[in-house]
Amino acid sequence: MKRIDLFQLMNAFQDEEFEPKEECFVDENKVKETVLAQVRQKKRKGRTVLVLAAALAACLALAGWSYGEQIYQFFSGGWVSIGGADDGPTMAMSNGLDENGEPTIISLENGRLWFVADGQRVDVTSQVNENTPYVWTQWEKNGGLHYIIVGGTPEDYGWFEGIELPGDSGGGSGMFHSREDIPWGEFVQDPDWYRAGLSQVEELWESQNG
Amino acid sequence: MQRLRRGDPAGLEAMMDRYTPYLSAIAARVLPGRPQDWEELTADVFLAAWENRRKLQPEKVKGWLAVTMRNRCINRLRALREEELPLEEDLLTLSADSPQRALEDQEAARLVREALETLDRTDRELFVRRYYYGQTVARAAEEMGLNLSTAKSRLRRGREKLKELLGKAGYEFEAD
Repeated sequence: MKRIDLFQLMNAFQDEEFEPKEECFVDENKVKETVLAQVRQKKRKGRTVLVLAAALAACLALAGWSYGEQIYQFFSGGWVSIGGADDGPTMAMSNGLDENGEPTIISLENGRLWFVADGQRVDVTSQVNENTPYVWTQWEKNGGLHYIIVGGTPEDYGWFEGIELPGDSGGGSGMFHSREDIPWGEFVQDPDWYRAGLSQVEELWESQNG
Repeated sequence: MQRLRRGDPAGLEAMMDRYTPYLSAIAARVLPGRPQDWEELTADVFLAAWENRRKLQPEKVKGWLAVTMRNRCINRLRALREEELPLEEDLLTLSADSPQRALEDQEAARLVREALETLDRTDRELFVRRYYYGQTVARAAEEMGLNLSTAKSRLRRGREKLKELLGKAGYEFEAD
């Protein structure tokens, strides 16, 4: 015999007449810290998968380099090692956050995108979109070209950090999407801003290396 | 809300700044004397809001938060209470001839609201304190300054009114 549970019946109800007065019964800062720590943890886990996809794509472009092992430490926290004892280059990826959970490459703050690598703080929101990148480059003493490509929108943004080296080697890693609900088919494709940025990097490389 | 929907934690912080006192007050009402639960459940509800951020409608956020908190508190209450909830008197038994279909949320909300509107303020508050906030009849009576047996008979009135409206919606009940 079916019975109607009055407590369950009230699940659909919303009380506005007798709601309690807004006196705070908890430590607001503690609640905030707990919640934000868990949110950062979830965002970090969500991004790790995307980093792997980008890194796999980058690894395909790597070639051996015979000048001895070189380790390039990226601003993102990742690194790439080339010419070591291992067969082929090795790398460590990063999710773009430091040990305190703070962004190392691009930061979304109050709806604006900030480029924060290399001690900089540049509002790039108006300079980037789905097709247009912001590209940072720096020539290294050994002739390598260190670069960072950033693109997207505050709703969905990404970055890639890499190094071009003599002998057609190099590598990098990044995260192409900040959104967590990207269908698999979409995130294995390189975004347009990344391809545009990579073209600029390659053009710059060619202009100095013929 | 826009920042929240975009996945910007600043949006979540703003939501917490605004609604933490409100949610904690609901927890304190449903789970009196259990501050360890208030903080945990308040954090849980904000995490749930973050996970459902794309579905939240700006004009319904407060209601969503309140109902989510209330439901989690009631579940915690059921887990903690020595007595089994619901009590026999909290259940309306349908007759064998009655339709056995479940009420949809919208229909349930409408019927409850209609029933409550026919009650005087005291009866209505008693019903909401008991069945929405999960208070014991004794506690609700004490906080409202009512005699316990008066509170019980007023609550019965609320249940009868609801049965009457459910009857008009096609449900039939066994005799008490």
